[in-house]
Amino acid sequence: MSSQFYGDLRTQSPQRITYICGDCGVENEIRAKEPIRCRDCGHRIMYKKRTKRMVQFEAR
Amino acid sequence: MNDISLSAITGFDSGPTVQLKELESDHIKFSLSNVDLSVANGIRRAMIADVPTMAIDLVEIETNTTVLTDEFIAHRLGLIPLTSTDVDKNFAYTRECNCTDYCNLCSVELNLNVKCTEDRTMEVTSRELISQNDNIVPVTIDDQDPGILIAKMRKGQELKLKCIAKKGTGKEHAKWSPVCGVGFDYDPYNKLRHTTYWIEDDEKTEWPLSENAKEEQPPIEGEPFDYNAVPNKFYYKFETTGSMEAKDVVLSSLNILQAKFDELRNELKREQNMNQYN
Amino acid sequence: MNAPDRFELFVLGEGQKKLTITPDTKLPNAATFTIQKEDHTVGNMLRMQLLKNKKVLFAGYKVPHPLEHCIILKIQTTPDTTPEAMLMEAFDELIKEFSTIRNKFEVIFFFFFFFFFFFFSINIFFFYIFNLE
Repeated sequence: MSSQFYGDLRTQSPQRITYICGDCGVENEIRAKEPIRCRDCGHRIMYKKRTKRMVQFEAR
Repeated sequence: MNDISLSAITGFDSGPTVQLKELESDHIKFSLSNVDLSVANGIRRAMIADVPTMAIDLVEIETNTTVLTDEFIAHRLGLIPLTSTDVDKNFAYTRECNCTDYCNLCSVELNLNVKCTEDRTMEVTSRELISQNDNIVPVTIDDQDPGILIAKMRKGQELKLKCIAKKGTGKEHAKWSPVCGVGFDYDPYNKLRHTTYWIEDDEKTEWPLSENAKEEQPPIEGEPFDYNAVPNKFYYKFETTGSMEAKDVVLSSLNILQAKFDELRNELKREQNMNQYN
Repeated sequence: MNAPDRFELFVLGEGQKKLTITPDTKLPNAATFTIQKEDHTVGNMLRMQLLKNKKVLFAGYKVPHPLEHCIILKIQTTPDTTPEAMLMEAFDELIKEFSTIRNKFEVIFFFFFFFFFFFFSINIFFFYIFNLE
């Protein structure tokens, strides 16, 4: 059971990465060296979004 | 119309004989006589492992916000039986196909795109899988059949994926086996002593007789052991997953075994011809 | 991580021959046949078919190791024939046997549907008769 990654869809790595707040689920744009804090509820745990690359699995 | 045997119809008995007891689209019960044990077992093994079917083999997941992980869902999708009548003729194995990766001649694409919008739990079943080939679809018994459960979703959860179904055999992975529960029996009274029963007190009370015992004569008390007897009549009873008709599984397994020996025979001929010139 | 591909159970590898014949050096009229990518399904059937032949003095097969997908078949025959000829006979007899079994099944399935259709149409016939009255 392995996952294979098919090439990145975007050619340039973006600097605008949106993270999802752990509490309220709102998307926040956090740039580098910025303190991590949700815009709405002030929660300090952020989750990264699922990759845009297509993930492939063997159905075994 | 309980039993149909060819000898009863034609009145001529020679070589292997078949007695058909039950035949439905998804299960079959028959007995095979006048064949060797190895042949009967070979047919059983071929039905499980060598008959080709279609099953989902590659899953590309775009979105999955369900509680089940990607590989978990992919595994479940692989086990869904797909209608595979005549798959041997209509499709090639992907590794033998001339295309790069996969194409319409060796695979079928199925898509699944569901999002739960209502407040109640949504059940994603095999009915939601949309196939690009109308002949290869997830198996359903009738119109009332809800389909095989893949995942359950809460409001806001989404599942979007693309599946590639390929031809394969049970030997490669059990998902490709067309058969579930192959019952194989012979010598119900153990007259050949091929087995010894584990007993506490009495064999007859602790080990109930198989239903195939009706077809054979019970041993007479005090009868000496017949050391020359060989197994002769074999009882088969199996169900299919719905991917193929039961009779097609039997015929396909016989074709495959014959083809195996044909191929080996040709190889032997080739080796013999090569050695002739050495 | 180290698991070999499952298709190696039945797909011939690069440069592998399906059938290899090695004549026996120590015994007369004896040979060892190595068949790649086959298992007990074929091995046991071949062995039993060979043993039925009176000209075969010895016939046995084994799967040398469960992780190596091949069978070796040893045959020794009487001096008037060769192991290759006996194996060829075994193939022919098995092919014929499967052909017979398949024909029996096809006829039985045909008759099954024929009877079913027959009784079904008889019922429809009586249904119409009773409805007309």
